[in-house]
Amino acid sequence: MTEIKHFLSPKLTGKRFDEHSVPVEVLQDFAALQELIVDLAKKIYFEENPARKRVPKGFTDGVTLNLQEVEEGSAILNFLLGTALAASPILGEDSHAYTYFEKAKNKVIEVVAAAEKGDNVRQILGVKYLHYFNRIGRSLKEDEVVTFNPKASSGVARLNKNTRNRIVQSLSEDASYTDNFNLVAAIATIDRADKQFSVLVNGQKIPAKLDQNNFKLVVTTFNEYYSTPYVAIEGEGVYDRNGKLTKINSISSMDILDPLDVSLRISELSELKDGWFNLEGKAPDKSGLYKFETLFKANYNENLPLPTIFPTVSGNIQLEWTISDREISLEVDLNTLSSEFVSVNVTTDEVYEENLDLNDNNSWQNIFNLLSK
Amino acid sequence: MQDSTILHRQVHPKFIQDNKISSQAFEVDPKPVGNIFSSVFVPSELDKNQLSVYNGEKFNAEESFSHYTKTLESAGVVSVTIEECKSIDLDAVEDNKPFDGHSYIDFNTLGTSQAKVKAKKLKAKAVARDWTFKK
Repeated sequence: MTEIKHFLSPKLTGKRFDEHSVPVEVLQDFAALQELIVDLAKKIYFEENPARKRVPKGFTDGVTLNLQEVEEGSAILNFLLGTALAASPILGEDSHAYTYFEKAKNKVIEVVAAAEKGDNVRQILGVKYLHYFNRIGRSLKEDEVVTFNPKASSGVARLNKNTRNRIVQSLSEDASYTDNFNLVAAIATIDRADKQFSVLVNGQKIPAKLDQNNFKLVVTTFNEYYSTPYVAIEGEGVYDRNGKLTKINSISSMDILDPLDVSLRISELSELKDGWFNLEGKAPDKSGLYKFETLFKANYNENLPLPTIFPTVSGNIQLEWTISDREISLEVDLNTLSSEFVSVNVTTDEVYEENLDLNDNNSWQNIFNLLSK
Repeated sequence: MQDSTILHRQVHPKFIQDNKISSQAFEVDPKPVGNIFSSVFVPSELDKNQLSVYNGEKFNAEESFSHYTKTLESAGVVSVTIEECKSIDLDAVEDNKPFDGHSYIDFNTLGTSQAKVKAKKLKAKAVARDWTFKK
């Protein structure tokens, strides 16, 4: 008979968890955690019972972490542990299977807490067990944290991208590790014979496998290289010790980007250096660019055509639209996010000008109205 | 220079986005011609309110590109005629300085706002003509 007991209540914080829900991919990380805890519990059993050659029959039967509920407070997951073997004389002095799973859980918490402090995690767990962190925490985004023991007064174990990377980097001599990626790239080469292709990211070619799932899209994108060069790719890859993606292991999604994709353009503009315009031309301020991008994404009506976006010599940006006979621009001051809207009907000579504060939601509604005329 | 004389203006690569300017593309699927930045036609401080152009009687578009890119950056050439400039109350002046064949479109009497409006009109005329030379 399976006995069930409360086991773990990790707290998940980050934008994705604000609505007290948890994406499936995050739950998959916890499936990997379950495997680690089972494996570790066995190891601890053997350490504490050196005369035993095998774990007791039924030790891991039915051991599962079951999600009981998602509580409020970003998202708090309540996991229950079910095991078919609750108590048995063969389990040793503690005579309870939970003991080993509790100890295994505490080891995991110790590793994460050590990683956060920058301590050597290899002194706590062996490579075999640390390898599970290639999967645990892989789905976490930059702003996300899993606190395994949120009620602890000391030794708080917070797993985020940084702590996870520290653990994974400790695994290999070259400190490479696998992690999810989400990037914009151009398809640089295709090698049908070797079933490989490469993507170009910041001037660096990164190899990837060509398979049935991505073949058509890769070839289409490559053939349109000169007109639609970029794709947004998500998947899993290998990073070096400096956090640089060096190889793509698998691709979960790949989409051709709109050539006027605003995030892509902002990223390009953020690379400009002072003197970009024949030794004149101030580089746009990066923080201003990203503030603008955030406002644009939150407020720009998706039914409107995307603008072209250009740097100005003064270090700002100018958005432009050609709509029917109208040539339209919106020059944005990246320091204040104030802007100047100018529309010229080149046939009727009608000119319309308005100053708009892009921090104000009403200004975006005005832009919609002005462009929709 | 005659009213029909064409004037060539260099376009900096950073003033181009979504490089889809091909006459064939417009034959099969008409789209707005390219996305040439109207600032191409806003005189920079370097221009001193004189928008530098090449006199088409002395340079064709490709020659103007070759001449310009010996020292400066350009991704291609767009062009307007003197007649088109006059139609929007802009004068073109042949000064042959600093080299023979240099001319300018005079923005001197215009305020910033007026200059932007004129630039948009010039852009529309140039875009309607398409690139006269593209790298």
